[in-house]
Amino acid sequence: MQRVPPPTLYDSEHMRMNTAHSRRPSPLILLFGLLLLVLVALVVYPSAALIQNSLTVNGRFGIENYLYLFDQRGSAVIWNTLSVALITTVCATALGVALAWLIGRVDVPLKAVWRVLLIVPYLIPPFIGAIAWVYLLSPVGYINRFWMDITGTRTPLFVIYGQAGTILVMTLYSYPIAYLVMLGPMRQISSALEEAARISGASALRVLRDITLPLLLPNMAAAALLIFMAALANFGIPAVIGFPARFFTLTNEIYVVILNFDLPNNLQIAAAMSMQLVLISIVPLLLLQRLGTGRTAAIVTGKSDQALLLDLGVWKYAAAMFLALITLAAVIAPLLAIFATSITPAPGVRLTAANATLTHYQTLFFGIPKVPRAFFNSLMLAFSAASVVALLSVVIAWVTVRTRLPGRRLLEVLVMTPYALPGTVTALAFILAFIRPVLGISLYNTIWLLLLAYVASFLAFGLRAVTGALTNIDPALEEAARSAGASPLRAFRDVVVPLVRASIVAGWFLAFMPALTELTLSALLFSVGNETIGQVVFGLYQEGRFNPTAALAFSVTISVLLLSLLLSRLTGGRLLI
Amino acid sequence: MALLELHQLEKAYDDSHVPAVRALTLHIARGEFVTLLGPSGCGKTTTLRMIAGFVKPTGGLIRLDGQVLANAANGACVPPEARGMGMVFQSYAVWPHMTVAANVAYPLKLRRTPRAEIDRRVDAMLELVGLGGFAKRFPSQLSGGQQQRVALARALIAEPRVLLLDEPLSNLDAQLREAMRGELIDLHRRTGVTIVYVTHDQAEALAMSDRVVIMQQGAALQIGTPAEVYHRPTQRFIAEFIGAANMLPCQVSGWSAGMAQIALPGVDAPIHAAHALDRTPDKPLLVVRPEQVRLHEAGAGWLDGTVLRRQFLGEAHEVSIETAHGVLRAKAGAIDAPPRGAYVGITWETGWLVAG
Repeated sequence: MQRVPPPTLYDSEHMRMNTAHSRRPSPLILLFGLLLLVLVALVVYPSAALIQNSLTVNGRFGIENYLYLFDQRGSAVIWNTLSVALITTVCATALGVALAWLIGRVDVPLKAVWRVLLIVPYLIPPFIGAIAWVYLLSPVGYINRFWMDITGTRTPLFVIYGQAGTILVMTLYSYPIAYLVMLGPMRQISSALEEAARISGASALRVLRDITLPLLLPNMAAAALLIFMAALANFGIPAVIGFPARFFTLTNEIYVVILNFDLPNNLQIAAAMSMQLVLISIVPLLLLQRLGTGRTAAIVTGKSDQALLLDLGVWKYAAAMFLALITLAAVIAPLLAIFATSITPAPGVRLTAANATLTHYQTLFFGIPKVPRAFFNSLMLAFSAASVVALLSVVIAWVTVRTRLPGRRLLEVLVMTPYALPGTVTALAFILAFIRPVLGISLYNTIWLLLLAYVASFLAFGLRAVTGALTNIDPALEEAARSAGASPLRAFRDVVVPLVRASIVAGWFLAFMPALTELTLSALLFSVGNETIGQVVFGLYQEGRFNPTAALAFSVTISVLLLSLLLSRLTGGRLLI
Repeated sequence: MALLELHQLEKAYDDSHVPAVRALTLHIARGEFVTLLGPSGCGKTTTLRMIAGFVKPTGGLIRLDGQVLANAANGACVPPEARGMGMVFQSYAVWPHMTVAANVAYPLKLRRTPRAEIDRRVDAMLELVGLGGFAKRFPSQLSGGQQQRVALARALIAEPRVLLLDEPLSNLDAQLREAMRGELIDLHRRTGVTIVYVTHDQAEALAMSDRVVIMQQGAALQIGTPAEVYHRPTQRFIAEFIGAANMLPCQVSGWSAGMAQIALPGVDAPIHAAHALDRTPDKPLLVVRPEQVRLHEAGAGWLDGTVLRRQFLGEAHEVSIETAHGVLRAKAGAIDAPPRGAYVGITWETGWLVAG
């Protein structure tokens, strides 16, 4: 039931402290103004700079920048981008739904093992997954060499570079979105709805077709749109797998143009391309928001404790084989490939028990100064960004949920904007906004610019966690504290904060984890001395330092996985990033 | 011959040493309306789900029309879709993504009934449950009572051999519940379908059933007509669970002509009680229903007592009277009930003896 708001500017209890004393502007208005100022600096100003630059040709207004992409490349880049995103969406959604069904509703052997392994691809940074697949399926990759050895041919089985490889790897690292979106509804769907079909005469598979999947259609659509947006925005995978075959998607084309200093107007042209990417990305975003108001919630009723697991008979072993294949492709084979490469003495050398070496790990931390530097930078950046995000999230969530200030919706829209933008676009907007000193402060080529970009990009994660928790807290709890004699601030501190503390911590980690291995923003906003982990992995890979890249990628991946495991343990399994 | 036979049916779960259902034997005749009644956790829903095929018995046998549906001895278990039953769920389980007509037509569609016949039968069925004109609606546009009728129509459309109802009225408000009770009785009479009905509401069970099975901790305590379980409960638990009952600890002084002679301390009058016992129990209890209690002038009854409390119920008063044998409840007239503090005499029309 929606509580009817009182016809005041804010809830009556927060008003008293202002009116009783003075005519000064209320602290609430000041707070709101401050938040708005922060978000203008983080969102509005960079966006405006991006739009303005995209329409600037040689210092004058013009739309020529928007034509560059088509003049140079025809419709190839747009087509590459859309085909990769669409095919990935179809494959990853189907895979994620199938896996959620197997785990959520079917009695498969070794379920606990699959449940852990299936979310691991979500934790591995996608560009590291792409590098791992290069180790497996480059012309001299492990799988291709194995194939040539056993068949005696000199033609590889499949070379990963190009469109098909990009789609393969993107599917493997985006199915968890669909899997995680679907698993909850799949298990909560009232089992009576399915049993009613069984008793009507439908077989188990017929129930899946006629009842379960149609009921989950809105959730599936949401998952597909999220995957589509992620695929459009992905920079790392096509950068690793597309570049060598001259296969470019929009994010990569933008990246190349930004770094093409010989091209006059290159940043303005990149801005125009970014706008083109934004226009494409906005379609799924709008669809997603329309979907949000639909009938998605209607199905989660009834007694889920009676949810029956389907007994597939002997087919359950086939299901387990399928799960094994997926985890092999998405987790085990890539991790093994990275590890094997990291202990191989040199490229082209066959790894044996005798020649295995840890020398690349040594090189990494003692021979390449930017590596330890990047670890320090990324830890500091992730820690600071997560802390700023957590703090801003609490304040913004409180303003949007608990007050009736006009314009509080605007705050939410501003926070969601960078979340909806591809990282490449955000990075370019920050370059354009801060390339010259603003208010006498020069942020360009400093680590502060990265911090700002991280905060802008990850604020939505934190805000959603805290807003969700705060919305679920009955205002009567605060009112009870007030009538017991607590001041508004005291009631907030004693009642609200303890109740949302877990969500604040969750929000902190939701920003910290992706920030730690961030690539897209860092690849464009880093400068010498300010490298980050993601950027250094990518940089070493581009420099062709084959084995050290693997050593670094393996160290990063294992650290991230251990951190996630620790987090999951500490929170009793509630929090798994 | 019985249509549906449950023989020594048992369901034990691994994680509990007390079986959810044990040694349940029940024969249900064609066209009968049988209710499984008991408090939550008594095993009634588990029994229904074993009949439906959603739960596999760990002991015993289920037979329908001579065909074995489940036999724990050899592990045989016919899946729900092959049992030819209909079921109405507590949450109705009306599919939100299908229209009313599509919901009701679904069982026929699965049986490959010709389109024209489906349309005809769905129309007739919707008419029967009072939903004519609602065919094109979606469930979200229906009230709880209407969704209930959709569920009922869907369960009945394929002419099930047995209709299973799992607390179908518990989500409705009190007024609608009473109306639906009458409609279910009419529907049963018109269709002649065999019904197994699960409820924890004794009023529902008494009002609708041909026979009631009282269950507690997985076992059937008593199987009988509503009048039997109300007037001749075999155990104290049943007397207390069904209807209101005054329980008076007493002595049995003798037996005559199938009646027990009851001695209450401090009462001189000879009191008789009917019973279903074959011997005098250790702790005999006299059961007296409130509506059987008669109030008199003080000293004119078997016991005397003071009125503690008087509640007006509309059609009558309920009066609580403090006596030497504890507080007794009595139904008194809507107009002439004694006020609080009045000193009254008490007798009763009949009594029933159970073991304490």
